[in-house]
Amino acid sequence: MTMGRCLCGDITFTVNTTPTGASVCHCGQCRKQSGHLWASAQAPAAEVEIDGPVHWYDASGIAKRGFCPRCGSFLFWKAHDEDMISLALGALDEPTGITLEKHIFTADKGDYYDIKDGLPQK
Amino acid sequence: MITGACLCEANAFELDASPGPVTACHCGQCRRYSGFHAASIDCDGTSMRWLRQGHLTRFTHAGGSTRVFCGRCGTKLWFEYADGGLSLEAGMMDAPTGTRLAEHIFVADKGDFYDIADGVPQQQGWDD
Repeated sequence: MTMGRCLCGDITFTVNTTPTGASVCHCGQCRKQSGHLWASAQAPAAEVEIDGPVHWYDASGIAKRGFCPRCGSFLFWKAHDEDMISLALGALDEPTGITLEKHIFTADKGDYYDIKDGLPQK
Repeated sequence: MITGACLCEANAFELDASPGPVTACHCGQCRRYSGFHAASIDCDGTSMRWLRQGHLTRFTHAGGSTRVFCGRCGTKLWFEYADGGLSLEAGMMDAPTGTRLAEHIFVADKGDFYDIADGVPQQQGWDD
């Protein structure tokens, strides 16, 4: 079981399986909402129990982004037409048992850092 | 001139001077907040102008530092040190930013799901 929470603790979540496909997203939306980069892994939404007043923001029309309205922690991303939900790795209690596998949307990355960890880039 | 705005455009700023270096923070608080780790630029408030502000939401830690974000879209805006200093969140800067990531701090607290492999200097805490 994987557990996580926001910075202030108002929002907690439990995942009844190990999230998969751990990635770092470099898209402009994730960079703004995270403050730098967003790392996440996916799980079936039906396997994720979220407790707390998540504020959802639809930035693109295809997905919604969930954060804590009190402390601002960026916790969730969910496409409207998919059954999976992405969970912020930074919010997970350790040990996470998860290792980053890839970088995504690197064409949109910020110009002030380099990616040098050798992981695949898309 | 450096510019930036939040995701919903309620907040936008201009920065006259080239921003200072970017510092990445791996402490547990920044990791919960950002979803990975934070990156920000210590900033002299006199060199920047907010063109508009909206939905400002403040979360203050017990130690007195405050995190400010847009309450509508969740964009991270700035960090206020307990002594009043400001650090601008790097993610909302438009390119070209004219700056570089120059240091990782609090790497002793980094998450267990990633390695830091970019060759940028690392500090175990605030200032080793």
